[in-house]
Amino acid sequence: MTQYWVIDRPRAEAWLRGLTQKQEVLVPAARSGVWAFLPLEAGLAIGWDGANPLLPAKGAFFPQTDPLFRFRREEGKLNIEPVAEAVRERVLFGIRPCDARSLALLDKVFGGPFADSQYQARRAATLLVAWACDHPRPTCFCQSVGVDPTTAPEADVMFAPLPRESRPAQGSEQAPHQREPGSEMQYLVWAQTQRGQSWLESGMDYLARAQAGQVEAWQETAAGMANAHPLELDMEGVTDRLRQRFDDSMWEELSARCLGCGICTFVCPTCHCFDIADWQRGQEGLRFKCWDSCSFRDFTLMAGGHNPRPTKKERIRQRFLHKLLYFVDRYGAVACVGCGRCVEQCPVHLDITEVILRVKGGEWANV
Amino acid sequence: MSEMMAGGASAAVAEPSVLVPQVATIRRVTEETPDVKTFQVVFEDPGVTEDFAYLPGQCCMLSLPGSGEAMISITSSPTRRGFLEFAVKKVGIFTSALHELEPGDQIGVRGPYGNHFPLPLMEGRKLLFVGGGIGLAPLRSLINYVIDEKDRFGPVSIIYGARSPEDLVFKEELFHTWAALPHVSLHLTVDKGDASWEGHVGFVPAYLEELAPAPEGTTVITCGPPVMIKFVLQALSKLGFPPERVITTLEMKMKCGVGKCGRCNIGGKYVCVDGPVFTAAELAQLPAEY
Repeated sequence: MTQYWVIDRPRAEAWLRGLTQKQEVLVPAARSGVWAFLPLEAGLAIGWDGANPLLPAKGAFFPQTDPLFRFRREEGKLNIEPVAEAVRERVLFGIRPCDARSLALLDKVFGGPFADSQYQARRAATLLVAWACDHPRPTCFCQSVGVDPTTAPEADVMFAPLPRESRPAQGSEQAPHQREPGSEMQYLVWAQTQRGQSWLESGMDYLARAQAGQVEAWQETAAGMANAHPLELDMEGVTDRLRQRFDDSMWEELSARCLGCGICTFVCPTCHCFDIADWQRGQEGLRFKCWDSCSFRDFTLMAGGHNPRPTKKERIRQRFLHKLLYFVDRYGAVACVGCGRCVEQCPVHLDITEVILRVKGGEWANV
Repeated sequence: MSEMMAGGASAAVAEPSVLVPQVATIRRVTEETPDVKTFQVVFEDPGVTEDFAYLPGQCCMLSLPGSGEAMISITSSPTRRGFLEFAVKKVGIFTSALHELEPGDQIGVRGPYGNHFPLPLMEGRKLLFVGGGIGLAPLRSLINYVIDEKDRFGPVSIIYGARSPEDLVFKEELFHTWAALPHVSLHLTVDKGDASWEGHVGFVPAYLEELAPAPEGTTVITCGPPVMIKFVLQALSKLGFPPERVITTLEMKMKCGVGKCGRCNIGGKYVCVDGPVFTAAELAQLPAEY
């Protein structure tokens, strides 16, 4: 039997800020106008009412750059010293169900044979507190790819906003700073794992038992979310149809628009392709992993000059087939969580939902 | 650390990444051609050499930190223990830096990676090797393996070609060691001869068709430049070799080598972990994006 608790925003804020005395707490917040999951510190405002951060939660586990080892080369001798990263226990607060699903997908990639020890250590050290969504954005389509926006099975603890009269309308584009302070906001809180349960027990000074009707009030909001997404896609059969469309003219057409900028891959919570590079000064240096993108020409360019994906056509095809076909074959799930970040950020409106619609034989009316 | 612990949150140290190589020392450098050198290396830690188990067809990531890393097939045979050999063609930044090294110098090595030549498809059968240029490197591991384990395999034929006589790799074995073995027959060709060349002149696929080996009871293993592999596969098909008995090994750009970094896939297969060895039948199921 799930035990439900309620917390108001000021108390939640006090709890989280108190936690920063002994551990890192990552929260959705803006720095220099860019929304990301940032370490909570004095002066940083928690983005309670902000949209899903532009930079997805993957960066907390698979950072943009990730050191592997230090090296020193001297008179032919090579010295290698692996980076021994101390991973501290921490809380990732405010992750949405779409990003939580992305972590389950990345776990498949970075686990298994040749597991990524740094990714896994960070995952193991991180308590996930997810926010239930109650207002999808116009570019959201998580439900179409099987994500329930009101619950994140991957999270240790759920925070769900309790309805209030003055909530902004669904799909509101209102910027966070224009909204009310929201101090009257209350959240329904429950644990989904033993670890989450222990965490809640450590926060009893801040939590109150849910009152009669509060759980039902949230359940009503959640039920209302079932058909709330403006973007709805039928994914049935997409993977199998794509199997037949490797040589389709669609890829050429789409690639004519693509700038090859790679923004879609960087803001994607499931994109995980990386490069390995060396930084060297004198005889010493550092080898590190860093985010890479299948949109770039040199991603597959070999030293001898051969490139199996020489034009944007092959590279666009790789991006969409990796998400919708290859990942399904390898790991049994579509590598898209419907967060809509790529749809929103692409400067030329190259839209994964368009690809899905066209594969399904539908008309695309948005161009 | 003590300050962090005093705060109450516990800290764990992550295991070193699997992408960290072992240090190995170059023991011998053989100049095969003007742009190919074979490096014989031993791990600095003798325990690593002892535990290093591989089969022909597998690869290693060779590292020269500061100059990068590249996936190179192991050209030595696991039947010859105590060292690893890699034949490397000078084509880019990393391989050029590697070519500067001398015996005693150290590099990084991680692996072995990928699958290996499927021995059950070869045991008890005649073996036909078809190689071009540096493509003989992965085949050499298997050729020496079957030579050392000759009771398990039938007679061996090798068709091998290069751009010119001086571009033929492993000349010591081609002209002496292998040439002297009664159950090994060698057919060499060059695209363009020189004054001293008395052998065959012509491309490998054409020479293969000219020699027209019988497909019965034979398994074919081929490796070379992509365009050569393409025409060799066509020639073998014309000669009646079933694609299930034709084996090749592929090259793609790789970074991690362990199925994570996302670039060496052909369709849904990662060449680094699902390959590099594929049968022609398996290859026919994949999109021609390699």
